[in-house]
Amino acid sequence: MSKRLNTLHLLRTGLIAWFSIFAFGGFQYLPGEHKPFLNDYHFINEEKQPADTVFIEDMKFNPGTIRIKKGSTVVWINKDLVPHCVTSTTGRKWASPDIERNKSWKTKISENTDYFCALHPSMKGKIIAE
Amino acid sequence: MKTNQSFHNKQKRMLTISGLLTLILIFISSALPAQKLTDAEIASAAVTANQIDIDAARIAKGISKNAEVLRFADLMIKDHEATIKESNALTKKLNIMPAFNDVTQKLIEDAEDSKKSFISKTGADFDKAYIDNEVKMHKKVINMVENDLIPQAQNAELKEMLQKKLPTLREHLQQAENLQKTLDNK
Repeated sequence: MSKRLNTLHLLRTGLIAWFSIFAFGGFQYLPGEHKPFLNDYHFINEEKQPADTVFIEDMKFNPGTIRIKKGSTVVWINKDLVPHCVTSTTGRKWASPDIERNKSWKTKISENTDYFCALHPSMKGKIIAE
Repeated sequence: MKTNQSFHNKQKRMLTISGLLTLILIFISSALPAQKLTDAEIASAAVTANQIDIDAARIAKGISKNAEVLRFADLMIKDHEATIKESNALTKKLNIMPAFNDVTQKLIEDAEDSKKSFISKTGADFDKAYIDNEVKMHKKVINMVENDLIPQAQNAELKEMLQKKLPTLREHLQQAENLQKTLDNK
């Protein structure tokens, strides 16, 4: 009696789990408005290679220091209330335009670089390219 | 005699209880912050504080010739406009209509007063007066957001947005204080 109940219970839970996984997975591929998932940010460059991500929030780069593979792409995503930008400290070799809230900017990095936000210079970050 | 004593005891007990109750009430009323501002009033004060700084920066852009002061004024316009945009989006989402109130009124009056300290000046005098005022204003607004608006905000999202403003305001204060030092040394 109780064995049969257990089996039924398991079967029901399994069905619910299976359905929710299917439903969640399926929604991403529905046509129409496509809201970016976090994964989209990671595959933001055309070559579909994973990029290293730095979030900008509360006047900070997060993480402040990242280690990347030489020549890979770094993406900055601004989650703060105000616009920010990123500029390499050493020789200002690269600089982004203003990155508005919920927008991102990316560039390829091939050497160790310190960088900062030219709008709010107290914001500093570091990239270690290995 | 015996009844009299028990009456006294009863009276004493009543007095002790009422005294204790009074103490408890005093404790509770001092522990609870007085609810002064509604979320609609907080939203109004926050947007006004941003607008005041934008107005001052526009004046600076018209008068100053100092590249650093102009860069600072540009940043004030950019950051405070972005903040107002986010505030408006949030109040719209929460269905809050910003309500004019005493705090908003006081902010506007103070801004009119302090504007007099720099608006009629030119050159280095203007730069110094404008930046001095920016230091004063940002200190005042940080204090208001931290000690009045955040503790009194009821809605969690509004509270969070106010908290997110603090690092920006502190960065502005830092930049204004650095500028103040360079202008003083000239």
